[in-house]
Amino acid sequence: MSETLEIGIIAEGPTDILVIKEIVENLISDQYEFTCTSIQPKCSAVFEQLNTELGTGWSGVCRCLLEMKKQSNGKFDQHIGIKRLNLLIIHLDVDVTRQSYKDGHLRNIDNNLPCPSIQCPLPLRQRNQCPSDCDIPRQRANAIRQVVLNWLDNCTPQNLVFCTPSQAMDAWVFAAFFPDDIRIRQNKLECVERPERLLKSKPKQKRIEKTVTDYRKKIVGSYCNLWSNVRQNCSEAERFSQEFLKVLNTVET
Amino acid sequence: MYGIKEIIIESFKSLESVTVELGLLNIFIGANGSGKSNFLEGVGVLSAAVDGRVNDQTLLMRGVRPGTPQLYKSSFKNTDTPSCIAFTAKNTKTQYHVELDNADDPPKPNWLFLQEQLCSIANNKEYQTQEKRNHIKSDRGFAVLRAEESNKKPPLQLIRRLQDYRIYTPTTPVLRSMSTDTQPHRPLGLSGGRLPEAVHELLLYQDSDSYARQITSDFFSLISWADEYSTVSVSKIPIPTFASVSPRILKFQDHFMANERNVVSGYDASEGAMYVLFLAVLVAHPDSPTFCAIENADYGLNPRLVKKLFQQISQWVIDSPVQKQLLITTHNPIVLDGLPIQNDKIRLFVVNRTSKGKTAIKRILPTEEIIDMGKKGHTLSELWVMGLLGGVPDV
Ligand SMILES: [Zn+2]
Repeated sequence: MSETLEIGIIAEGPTDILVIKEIVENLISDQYEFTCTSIQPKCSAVFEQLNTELGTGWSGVCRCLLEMKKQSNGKFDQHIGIKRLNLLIIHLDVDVTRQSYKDGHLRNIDNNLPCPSIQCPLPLRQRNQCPSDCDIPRQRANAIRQVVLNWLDNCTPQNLVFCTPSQAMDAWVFAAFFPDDIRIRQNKLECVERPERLLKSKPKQKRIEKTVTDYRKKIVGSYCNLWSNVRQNCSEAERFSQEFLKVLNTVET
Repeated sequence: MYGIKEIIIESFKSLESVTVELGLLNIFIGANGSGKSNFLEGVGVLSAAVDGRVNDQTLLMRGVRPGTPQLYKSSFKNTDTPSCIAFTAKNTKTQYHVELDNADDPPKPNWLFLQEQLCSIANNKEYQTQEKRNHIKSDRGFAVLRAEESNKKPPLQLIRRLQDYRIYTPTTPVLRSMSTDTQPHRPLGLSGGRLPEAVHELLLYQDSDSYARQITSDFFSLISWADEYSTVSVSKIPIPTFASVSPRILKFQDHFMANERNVVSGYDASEGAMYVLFLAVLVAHPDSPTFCAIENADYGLNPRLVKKLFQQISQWVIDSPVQKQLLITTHNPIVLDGLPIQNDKIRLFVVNRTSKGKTAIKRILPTEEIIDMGKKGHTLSELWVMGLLGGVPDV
């Protein structure tokens, strides 16, 4: 039996993990067998209930990474939980660039959030009509990646792959299931503010609710086969695919 | 002493091809359904094969759920059903290999031995027996005869150890002698039956055995409320008569209670005390198996006791004069904090299911980074819970 690939995922929330696993399944296909483990920060429900964002969400990713940095004495790339992996995926939605550490109830972190304003050229009302060559999503993705690199003092492993959907994972879900939607065909999906509203605009029987139950029903097992739709319509999805495959090619088994 | 060094299981349930190099104390962690129990059961089938027959009865008495070929043979999507299930066990000198098959519909009572080899690893020479030549493709194995006729220590010890194997799943009512054990054995039933009798035997045995003496006294460092323990006839203890299925009952002296009323029976002593005694018997009783498994050994114990208990078990097996080998599954992260894995005899394995549904078992090695993290106050349990060792469910 060939060696099994070990893949670790640090993601904002449980629905994101389900989507990322489907993407991994698509990109790896039958080439390798693999295991996917989600890495989460330590957390007690008593504190989660005080503030629902603590355990998950972008601040959960931040706390997880900082915790691991501490565990590895500042050398995140040397962390034993990282070194056992063949591939590490860190997911953050690009709209995190607009968050502040106060929103995430985090203290004592460099003041690099929110990122300096990176705005699409069109006025807010027409933001859904950005031309397909608008490169603001890319700039924002780069900005959020830089934020993560700062958290980790640039000590990141070679096998790290960033997963930075613009503006959020909901856009990737929408692109997969509704590639013929007029709003995708004419304009840049990745510039749409709050893409979850696109999903909500669909009739009830086609809608995908953002719950683990609905994702298990509608995404698990089928999203994998729809990934090419997303690659075609979202530049960050294409970038994730290429960067993932590049790291995959360097994996020694 | 020739302990078991390596077990290989092929085409059995979710184990397509799994190799595990064993130490003395072997802890398996993983999500529900990852295949931990399948591994323990696979070793059980191997044990039955070594003993000569694989059928419902020989499996049940080892704590293995009997299965038809459809249940036992691996069936992964897009792959053919394998022609047989196969098992290999090695010590440093000897290798035993067996391939088993059964008809699909209806299955025969006994599984068929397609192949069986017991051989020396150095020169690949088989230990043969006259008996075997008359049976090609038979429904019985000849490992024991071959080992006995070889009259050599390495094959004999490999075979004896494998024969010994069984899977224990202790339950509170049985440990308390309130229910009967469905698989009664000496010294202990598979659910923990016969505990008072076995403790009684152990307490007698310790007079002549310093190791047993050590272990029976280590009990007090784990169960701090007890000053003394022993066993007595049920009639001597005021418990409801219907409560006990055993003529003997455990008796503890409670440190904190007034002299006349300080006796606590196995009927209402803490679960922790019963469980520690169960493990003590398993480790130190002269008739307990040299090789066995315990399912879910975390068992409703206080986290501090769990940690201390596993530190203690680790020490027990390190000191064991017969090099007892234990396989233990657990879901309790604190177990990890009690394991001195820097000692090669204490091994920690993470069990995962791959994208194709196959069970993968990997050892967590005591690397410099792990030791270093421990020095800085981090714990293995925290790494496991965060998902940094694998073997966690996606919830
Ligand atoms: Zn734009």
